[in-house]
Amino acid sequence: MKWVVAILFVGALVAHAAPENTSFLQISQQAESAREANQLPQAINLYQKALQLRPTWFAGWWEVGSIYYDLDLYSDARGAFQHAQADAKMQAPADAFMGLCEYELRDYPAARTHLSKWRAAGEPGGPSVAHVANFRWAELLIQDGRFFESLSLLDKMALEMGPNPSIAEAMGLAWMQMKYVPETYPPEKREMVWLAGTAALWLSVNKHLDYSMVYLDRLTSRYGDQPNVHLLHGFVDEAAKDTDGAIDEDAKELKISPDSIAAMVQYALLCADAGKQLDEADAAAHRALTLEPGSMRSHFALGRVLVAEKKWAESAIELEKAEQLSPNVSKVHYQLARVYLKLGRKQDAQRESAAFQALERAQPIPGVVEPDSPIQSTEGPSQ
Amino acid sequence: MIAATALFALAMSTMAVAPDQPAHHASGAASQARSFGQISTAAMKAWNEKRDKDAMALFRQGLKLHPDWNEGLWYLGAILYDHDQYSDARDQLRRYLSLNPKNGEGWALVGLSDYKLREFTHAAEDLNRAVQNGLGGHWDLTGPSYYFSALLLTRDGHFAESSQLLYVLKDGDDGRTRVDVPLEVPMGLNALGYAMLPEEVPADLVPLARQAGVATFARFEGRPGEAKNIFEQLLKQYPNEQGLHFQLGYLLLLEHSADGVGEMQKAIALAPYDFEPLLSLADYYNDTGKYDEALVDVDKALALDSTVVSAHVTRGRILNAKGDTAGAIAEFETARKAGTSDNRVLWELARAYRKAGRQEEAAQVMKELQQQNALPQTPKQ
Repeated sequence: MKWVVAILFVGALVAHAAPENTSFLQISQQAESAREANQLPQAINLYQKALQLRPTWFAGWWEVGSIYYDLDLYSDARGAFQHAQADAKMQAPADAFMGLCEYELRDYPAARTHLSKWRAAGEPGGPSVAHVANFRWAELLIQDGRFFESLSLLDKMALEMGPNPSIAEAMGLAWMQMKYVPETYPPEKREMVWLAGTAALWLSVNKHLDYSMVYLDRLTSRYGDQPNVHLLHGFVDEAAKDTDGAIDEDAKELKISPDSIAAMVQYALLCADAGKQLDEADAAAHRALTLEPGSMRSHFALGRVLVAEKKWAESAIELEKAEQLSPNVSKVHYQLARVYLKLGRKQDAQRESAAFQALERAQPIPGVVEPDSPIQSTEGPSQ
Repeated sequence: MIAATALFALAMSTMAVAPDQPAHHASGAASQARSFGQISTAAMKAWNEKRDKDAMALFRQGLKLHPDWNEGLWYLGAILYDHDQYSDARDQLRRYLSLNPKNGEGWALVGLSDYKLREFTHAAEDLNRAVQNGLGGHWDLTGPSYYFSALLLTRDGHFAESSQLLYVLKDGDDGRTRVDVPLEVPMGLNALGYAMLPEEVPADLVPLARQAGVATFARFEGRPGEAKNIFEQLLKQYPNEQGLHFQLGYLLLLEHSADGVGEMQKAIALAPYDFEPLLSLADYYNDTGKYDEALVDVDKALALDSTVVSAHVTRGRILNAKGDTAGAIAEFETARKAGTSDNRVLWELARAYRKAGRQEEAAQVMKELQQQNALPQTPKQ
C-alpha cells in the first residue's frame, strides 16, 4: 500500500507565520515556490536556510517534514515534525507523522506512544492521515498482543477498502495470535498467515462464507495441528450458523491449546447458546475464570452458561461482574435483562434492556469481530 | 538470489559517475575544502583498491563535511548494499535519490534493499520507480528489477501480471534466461495461485510449484502437449489444486475440447471467488458460437470483479458477435477508460466504431493504436 501524505494545514500555517525580515521572507517564499514546482532538493535547502534564520517558523518545519516524509527520509522527517510540535496547534497532527516515521524506522515503542497520543487527541488530520495512521496502529496492536482491538480496526478498514493484501496479512497475524508486525514475522509462517488472513478478509468484506471456507479448509488441512487454527474455524462456522461445527472446532482447539482462554470462552458460549454439553461448558468457563480471574469475557462466559443451566441467581452475579468490568458490551446487558426477568426484578430488567438497545443502536455497522469476541487473548510467541 | 556484487558492479558501470566536487559555500574555509578533497580522493582510491571498509569510513567522513555529496552518497550506499547492510544502504541511497530522483539504478538498489528488509510495499514501489526511470537499457539491471517485481506481484495476488514479467525474463538469448535464478518455482506459484515468495514456500510444496512452473513455461513457449501432460500428472497427485484444473482446462479449451469445460467447472467449484475460469469459459463459448452461454459466464466474472478489463473486452466481443454493436462499443470504451495498455482494446474499439459507421472516431483510435505500437516495449540488449 502506498502511503501518500497529504500536506495538511499548510495554508493556515503559512498564513499564521509572520516573517519579520526581508531575507527570511524571500527565502521562505522561494522555498514554497520550489516545493510547489516539485523541486524538492532545492525546497529542502531553502527551508533549511529559512529555518536557520527563524527556528520558530513552525509551518516551515511542518513543510520540510512533509517533504522528507514523501522522500522516505524518515529520520529527517521525524526531526522536523518534532520541531513543528512546539506549536500547540500542530502537536497532535505531528504526533501522527512522528508515529508513522518511527514505524518506518522500526522504533515501534516510540511509534506506539505517538500514535496513541494522536488517537487520544481525536485523530486530527483528515481521512488520509487517519487511514494510514490507524493501519499502522492496528499493526502495532498485533505486535503488542492486543489482537481483538486490532481485528476490530482492520475489520472496519476491510469494509471501507475491500480486499487488500496488506489488511489480509495483518488479519492473518492477528487471528494466528502472532505478536509481530508484517515486516518481522518468520517467512516460513507466510502460508499460514496468508490462508488465515484471506479467510478472515473474505468474511469481513462481503460476509463471503463460501470464499472464506476455501481458505479455511486449506488452512486446516495444512496447519490443523497449530494453535488458533481451529479457533478461527469455529468463529467462521459460527458466522455460518453452523453451531455444531463451531463447537467441534473449539473442542479441537482445546485439545491443541488446553490453556487457550479464547477457546474455552468460545466453547462455553457456543454450548450455552445451543443448550448442549453444558457440563463441559461449565467446566471450561470455570477454568477460564481460574486462569484469568477478573476478566470480563470469563465472567460473561460463566454467566451465560449458568443462564443455560437456569441457575439464575448465580448467573446474575457473574454477569454483573462482567458488566462492571466492561459496561459497553451489549450482550452482557441482554443476558442480564433475561436473568432479572426470571428473578422477578422487572425494573432492573427494563434498565438492562434499555442499555442493550442503546448500545446496539450505537453500532451502525455490525463488524465481524464483536466486542465480546474471545479472540482477545495475548497468547502467542513474543518478539 | 541475484548476486549483490554483480548488480553493484553493473550499477556502477551504467552510472558514468564523473568526479563530483560539491559546490562549496562561499564561507567555507580553505582548509576544510582541502580536507574534503583529500578525503574524497582517498575514498575513491580505497574503493578502486577494493578496501571497502576504508572506503566506507572515508565516504562517511566526506559526507559529514558535505551531506549532499552525490558521489559519496551513491558509493557509500552501493558498498553498504554489497555488504548486506541493507537498512543503512537504503538510507544513503534515499538521500542520493532525493537529489537525483530520476536515477533508475538508485531506485533499483533501494527497491532491492527494501526487499531484503521484507518491506514489500516499499520494495514494489521503488522497483517500479526503477523501471519507470529507466535502467540504462540493459537487462543486467532490468532483469533483477523485473524479477523481484514479479515476485511481489505474486505475493499480492496479481498472478497474471507476474506471469507476464516472468515470461519476459525467461525469453533470453540462446535459450538462457535474463536473470541468473530459476524461474520455474515463481511461475508455478502463479499457476497455483499461491500468494507467496519462493523463499516462503513450505518445502513440501516446492516440487509441486516447480513442476507447475515447468508446465506453464511449456504452455507459454508453444508446447501445449508437454504442458498438458505435466498438469495431468500433477492432478493425479494433487486433485484439489484449483490452479492445476484451471491450467489444464485452459489448454483443453484452446483445442476446443469439451473436457476443458469440466476442468474449468472444477476450478470454479474449488475457488468460487476466481473470475479467470469464468472468463476462459466465456471466451471458449464465444469462439465456438455459443454466445448466450458466453454471456452468462462473462457476467458472472464481472459480478465477481467489475474492474477486470479483459472481462469487458470479452463481453464486448460477445455482444459484437451477437450484433449488438452499441453494447460492444460501451464495453470496449469501459475497458479503454480503465487506462489499459492492451492494444487489443483499441483494435476492437476501432473495429466496432467502423461497424457502427463512426469513421472519425475509428480513425482517431487507429491513430492512437499506431502511436502505442511505436513506443519501445522492452529494454535493449
